Amino acid sequence: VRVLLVEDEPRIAAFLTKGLSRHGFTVDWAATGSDALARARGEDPPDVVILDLGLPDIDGLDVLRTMRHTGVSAPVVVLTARAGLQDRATALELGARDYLTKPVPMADLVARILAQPSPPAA
Amino acid sequence: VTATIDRRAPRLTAWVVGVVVAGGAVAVAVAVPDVAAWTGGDALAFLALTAGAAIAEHFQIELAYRTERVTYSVSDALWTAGLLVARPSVLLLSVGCGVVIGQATQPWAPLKVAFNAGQFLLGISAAIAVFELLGSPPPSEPSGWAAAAVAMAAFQAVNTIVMAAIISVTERQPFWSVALVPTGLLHWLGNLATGVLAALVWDTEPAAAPFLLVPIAFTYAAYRGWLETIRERDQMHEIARAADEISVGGDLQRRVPDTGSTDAVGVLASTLNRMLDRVDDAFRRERLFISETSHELRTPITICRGHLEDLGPAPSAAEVADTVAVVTDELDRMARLVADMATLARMEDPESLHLTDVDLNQLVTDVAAKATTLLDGRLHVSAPPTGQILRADPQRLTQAMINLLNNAAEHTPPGTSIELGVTARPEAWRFEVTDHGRGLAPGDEELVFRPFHTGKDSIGSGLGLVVVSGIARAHGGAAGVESRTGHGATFWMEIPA
Repeated sequence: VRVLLVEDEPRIAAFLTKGLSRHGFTVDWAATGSDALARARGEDPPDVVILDLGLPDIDGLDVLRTMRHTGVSAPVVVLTARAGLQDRATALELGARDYLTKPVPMADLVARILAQPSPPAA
Repeated sequence: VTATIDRRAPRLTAWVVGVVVAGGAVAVAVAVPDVAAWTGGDALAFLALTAGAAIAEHFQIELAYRTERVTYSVSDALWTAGLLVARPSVLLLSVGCGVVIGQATQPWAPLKVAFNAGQFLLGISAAIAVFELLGSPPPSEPSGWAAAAVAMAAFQAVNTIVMAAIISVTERQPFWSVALVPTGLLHWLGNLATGVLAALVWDTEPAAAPFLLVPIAFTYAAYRGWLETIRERDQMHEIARAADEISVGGDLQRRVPDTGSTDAVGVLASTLNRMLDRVDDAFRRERLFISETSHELRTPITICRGHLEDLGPAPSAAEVADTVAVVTDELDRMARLVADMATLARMEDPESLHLTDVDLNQLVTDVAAKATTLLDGRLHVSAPPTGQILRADPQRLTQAMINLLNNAAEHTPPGTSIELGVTARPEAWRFEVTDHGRGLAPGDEELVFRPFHTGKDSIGSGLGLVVVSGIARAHGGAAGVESRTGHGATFWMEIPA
């Protein structure tokens, strides 16, 4: 399963990449919203997107919105430090499949990714 | 007693208004033929009563009651006197003319003036009828006073009924709930007594009538003051009730009723509301700060947790060393944030400042010494000569300057110079840290003093400049920044001398 990890904090991206790889995922890391959009719409699209909301260039919710409007079909799991109900509601309204608040145990994150409806066989 | 009439009044209101106006018109039509029989004295009485009524309309005391304004005037006294001494047609026509002339100068709709005139004409017709029924006794006899009292009671009754009718149809309320509201018995009695007195004076010696103006003026003023007190008391009750509900219910969005008037009660209400605005604002900022801080703490916690979890059951020595380095670093970040939060919390308390006489030269030299390792040859200091004394908390000022220097070091390329200076301003000392980095993005001058407005690569807590601003304000001063986009920025702090 190809995972696009959108996360601007390198130290978080580092252990997530390591942990996910250990669970058999192929991880592609994007540190900015524009990079994430480019990769999601690129030639080798991901099966699942893990999306942080606090990104330096484009807000994560706008990234999500743009993905939906440009036909990115991969399920999106939001993984963020923002604990507000408003952000959660907006993200789910925009089609996010799940909304996880940092910090999340790796096993939990893996379970949520595997729970997505149409992951091609790894 | 007069009523406000909405021009878009519903049908029932239109009926009530129509009946009252028509009734007034009929009363006038009946009285007009008698004018042919008037003597010179009657004509003079007509002029005097009309002028008196018109003037009385200008000395009204208004009381707001629901959507109506209940109005009191001394005109009832005039009508009482008129009943006792004047020819009925003279009284009736001067009531009509007096009300119309008196109210024509008010900014009211013609329909409202017509309604008011009709209301009074109906009332005075009832009074005249009752007075004649009782034999029209002369003012010099007690039976005359009693007859005038009964007649004026009829006048008052008609007024109250008409008034209650119009209020109940415009406000869609039960007739009796409006009619039974006390509408000034004291006022009515006062006017009755004044009227009887006036009639007696007139009957004895008309030339003495002007003397009556003095007691009338006094009573008028006293009555007006009394009503004012009642009104203020009611408003105070309402304000107190609202304030109580806010303090018990804790709903800081609510406000006390504010009439917008400039009297003491109005000022009190608007002052209370401004205070509530500030309290509400403070709470809001507090909540925002707490939510931002918890958000800010999540990142280092996530990093520590993730890296520790990632170690697994049998990590290599190199992995452990890496993880220890990362976790220690993140714990330091959290420690800085918590320390800054503690400083900010103490800043709110003015007692936390330990004021002493600070020698500015000494202070700046100390700061420079502490910052040398951090800034490593980049720092240029211009301190004032020894002997310049500022009453302040030296530890806090040091902390503020160190924060400004940290901020400059963090946001500028290595090797560019940073200047620390203190200059005298009128009645203040200005501490400045000037860097030669990129400067701020236009419009960021205020944002940088907000909590956690910091780049992701920042090693600071996101509260450094907030702390600077807090320290300046605790000293009664201020902090700010002047940015030259592309050429650097000057962060400053002014402390009153």
